[in-house]
Amino acid sequence: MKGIVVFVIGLLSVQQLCLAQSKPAGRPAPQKQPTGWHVGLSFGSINNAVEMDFSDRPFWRYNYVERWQYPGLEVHYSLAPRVLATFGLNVIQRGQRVETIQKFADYQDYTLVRTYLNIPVGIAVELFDTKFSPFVKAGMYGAYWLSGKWTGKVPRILDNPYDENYDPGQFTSLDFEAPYEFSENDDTGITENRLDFGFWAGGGLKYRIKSGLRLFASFDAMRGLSSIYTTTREVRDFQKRKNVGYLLSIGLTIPINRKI
Amino acid sequence: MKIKHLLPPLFFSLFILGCVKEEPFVEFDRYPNTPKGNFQAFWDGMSRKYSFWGYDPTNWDEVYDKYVNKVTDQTTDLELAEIFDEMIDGLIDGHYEIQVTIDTVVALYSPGFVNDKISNYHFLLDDEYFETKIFNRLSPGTRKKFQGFVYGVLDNKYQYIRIPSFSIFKGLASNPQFFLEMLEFMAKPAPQYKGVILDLRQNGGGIADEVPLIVGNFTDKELLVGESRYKYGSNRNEFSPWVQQKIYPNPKGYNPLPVVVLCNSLSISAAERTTMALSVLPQVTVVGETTFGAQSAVLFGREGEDSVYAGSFELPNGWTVKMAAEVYRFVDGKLYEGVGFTPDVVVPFDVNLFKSSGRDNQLERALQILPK
Repeated sequence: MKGIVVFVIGLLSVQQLCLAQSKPAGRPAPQKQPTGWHVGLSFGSINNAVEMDFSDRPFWRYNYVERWQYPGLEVHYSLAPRVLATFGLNVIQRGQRVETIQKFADYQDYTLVRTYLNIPVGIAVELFDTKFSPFVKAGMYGAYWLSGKWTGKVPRILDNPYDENYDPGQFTSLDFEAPYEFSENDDTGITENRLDFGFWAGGGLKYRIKSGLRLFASFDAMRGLSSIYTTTREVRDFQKRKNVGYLLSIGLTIPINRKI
Repeated sequence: MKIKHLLPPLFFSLFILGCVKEEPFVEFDRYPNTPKGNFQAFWDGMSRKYSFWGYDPTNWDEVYDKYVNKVTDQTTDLELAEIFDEMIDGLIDGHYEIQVTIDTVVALYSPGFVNDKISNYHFLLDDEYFETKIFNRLSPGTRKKFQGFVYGVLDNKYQYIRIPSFSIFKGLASNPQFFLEMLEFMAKPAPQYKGVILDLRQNGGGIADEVPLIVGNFTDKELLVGESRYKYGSNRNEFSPWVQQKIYPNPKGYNPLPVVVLCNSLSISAAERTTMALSVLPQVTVVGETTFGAQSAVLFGREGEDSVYAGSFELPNGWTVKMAAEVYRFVDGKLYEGVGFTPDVVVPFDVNLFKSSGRDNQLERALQILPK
């Protein structure tokens, strides 16, 4: 948390520096950019995993999964000419892929995609007061785990010996797709946290066209602040299993309550 | 309870399914080969690989607390084996066994083999009984036998098939004519036949794929027979979702006759899966005694190596722990692991009747159930 505060203060300092550099001496800077409220949409692609410590488990590999941030609401408020408070409301998929490796390879893997209602809030600072401008941003997110879906394969116990391709000497796997059932029992000492909080930071490029309409593309790194599990006893790395991911998104906002 | 069985290492049925990549086994390298190191490796291996956590009533953390201080560097192999035996007492996995080698003696410790499952009478129902007394009751010209497998027509109207183990693929390689004819006999009943007796008593199990090879003859459509899940990580609660287990019909034949499946407490593993799968069908009645209670499959590669993460592991001292790599639950959503599947018609074997007159009351009950 302390790091985020420092980061945000840093962003504001950069913004102040840019403002100072762009002000001609003795005259106020021109207010070309619309201020006030902007609303729009954004969507993107996320590359996510759950951070795990498998240093003593050589037969498992955990990978990132690419999924989507579905088109969602984007609301910006101009706090200052190039400083925006940002707010989002979207549905985002986070996931992880797990597979066996080494001697156990080939017969077991799964991809678990978790769908969240996601609310990111933050501050963005545009570096230049031009049509094209890079920007930096940072903030926090809160998300609610709505649902999940498994896909993967398991060892096939009962093969079909009547299939013309059946080979009795061949060990095969069985593909599956199933909704994820949240763990309600605590006999294993582990329950899932439906709420997830974290921070994000990144940057991008905006393009402002006439009437104040603003297009942007951004790249964010995201990291959960706490495990997606709650444990009632020490269960290896479950207390540390956080969402980590990268989001590449594009969006569009239009000004409302426009002030030039 | 201490149960020590000096049994042939492969007494248990194994699901032998394919080959695996050869890679070094390194997961337990960090434990020293000392009594304490082997204890830690055993406890940790069970934590990681045992498939029934969440169902098994054993509290593995309490087991650790209870036994950790009983193991010292002076603990002998035999004492350590006895401690392991106490630790596993009550585990529900019917395939579970620890293979212990002390000097040249190999011992299997298994909570599944409790005494009431191996009553003396079972030894009366040996291959000789099926290959002589039952074989002689079958109509000449229809009856055949090979290594405990017996089939033919009983009382001129019932198909009788005795399967002593699920080793049919192996049999197809060594005696293809016998096994092809047996499968043909099962799948294509003559018009005069009234019913089928599938005798799975004393069947120790075998190849999992032979379950659908049998059951597929008695269904004309895809048959849901339960669900399975697997360890999906090395933490105690990491499992795959439940995945449906289906059996497909034999496209070359369908036997619609009423079926009685005979089973007893030494109907194990694939024999239980076959019994349970057939019991889903409306024309099937299961008769006999509760099965052994080891339905969830052990998975080995063709060369005896592990093929999936769950299941077997080896301790630093070379002792091996073998257990199911799958958790199987029946179509009713229940687990019968460790408790066995109870027949529709429970008929305890009458030892005295058998000894005094040679009569097989379970077979007689099966004949009463089938149409006259």
